Amino acid sequence: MTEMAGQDILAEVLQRNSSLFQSPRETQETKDLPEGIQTCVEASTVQVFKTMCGIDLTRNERIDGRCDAFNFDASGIVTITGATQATVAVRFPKQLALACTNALLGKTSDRIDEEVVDVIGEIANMVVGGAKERFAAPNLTLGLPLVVTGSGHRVLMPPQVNILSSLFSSASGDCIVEIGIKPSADSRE
Amino acid sequence: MISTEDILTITENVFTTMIDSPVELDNDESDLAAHAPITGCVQIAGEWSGAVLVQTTGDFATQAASKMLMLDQAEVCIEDRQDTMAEIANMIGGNIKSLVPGPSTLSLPTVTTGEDFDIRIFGTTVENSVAMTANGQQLKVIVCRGCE
Amino acid sequence: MKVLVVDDSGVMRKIIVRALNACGIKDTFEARDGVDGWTQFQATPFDLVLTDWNMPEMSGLEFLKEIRGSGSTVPVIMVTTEGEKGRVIEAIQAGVTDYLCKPFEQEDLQRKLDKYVAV
Repeated sequence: MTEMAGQDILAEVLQRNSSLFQSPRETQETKDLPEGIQTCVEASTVQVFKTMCGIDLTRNERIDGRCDAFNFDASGIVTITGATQATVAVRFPKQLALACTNALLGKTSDRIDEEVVDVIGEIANMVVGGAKERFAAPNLTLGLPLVVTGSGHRVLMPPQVNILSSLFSSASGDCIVEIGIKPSADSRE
Repeated sequence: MISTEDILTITENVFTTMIDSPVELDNDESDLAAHAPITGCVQIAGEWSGAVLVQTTGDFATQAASKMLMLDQAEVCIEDRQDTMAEIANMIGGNIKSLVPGPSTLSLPTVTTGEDFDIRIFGTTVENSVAMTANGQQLKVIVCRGCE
Repeated sequence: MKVLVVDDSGVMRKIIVRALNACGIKDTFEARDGVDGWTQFQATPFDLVLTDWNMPEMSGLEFLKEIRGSGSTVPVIMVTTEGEKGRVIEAIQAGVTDYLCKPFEQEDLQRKLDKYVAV
């Protein structure tokens, strides 16, 4: 049995962080911009789906605003409070939610049950946690993951929020990540 | 513990102030799902963590939007109802935040609609759920507290 | 070999238990927070502990401090999203044996387990 020395543990984590964040890590100049947050969330989304579920997501396009063109069956939502106020919603079609659950738990299901809801919440939490690390802004607090299920449900953010949508495709279906960001002048507390 | 009286007082204050609608406690816990439900949600993060959900019927959301935005009910569109519910959740959540230990921050509100949906907030338990009526419509305020 | 998995996420516990099973470890125990973990730890002699950091009631760091405070040298792997340098140092100072950041690939977890699991 091998035990790692403290400096080895730290070196390994820092090495992991540097390879994870080498691109795109936001610069001080760009990180206050909504696009900076969007880039961080997109990179984290791709990484979480790949590493946790073995699912390759391809980002197809960005939409400035909501994307109502698709019906989704489940949404994992995590809020960010602090110097930046934002809400991130990872929106899943049933097929993709089931594929993630199968990859993570080895469980085959034909409906969105409790375990699928758990997986959606966990994925949303990791996506936003990873984005927060990439964004590297101090004093950001993540809210508790909220999962909404139901065919064709809609999750909306208030009108004063700028919404950026990123559309992804995969062999198991398409998904959308919506980021609602309150303009920074109003969000400072 | 956020008491039923606190939730009723806060909700009454918001609804009478904003839409001149009295609020009463109600024993009817029947499912809102049959009435085109709409749910506004805000989270509180900090020394006290949790979430506040405000659920009502599509009809009451329309009435509230009509009053708050000074529109005829026929003019109220789906976005108006959602914006109104976001604002109501924000106001009720903000008032509840003032009752819990600070410092804490309030998240942006989200509003969920649909024919049939469920909401689950991870890591929380329902601290109090208060069924009320306003203008003869069902209204429910649920305070969920983070397990930490 | 007895392994204790402590995480408030049922999904994460299942993922870790699945990886442990793949390593041939069937004797796994699950706890939903630090308090539950500490209660089980005091009652059962575990050979390995995997714990999350952010959990209700008692955090993974507090749980780790309880373990080390009891004089136990059992290997403890922190499996967490807390990848910031200051946090890692805090865990090292508290006596963590190894560290795995979420999200992780199955092989990363497997590699960590291989180091501590002698089937």
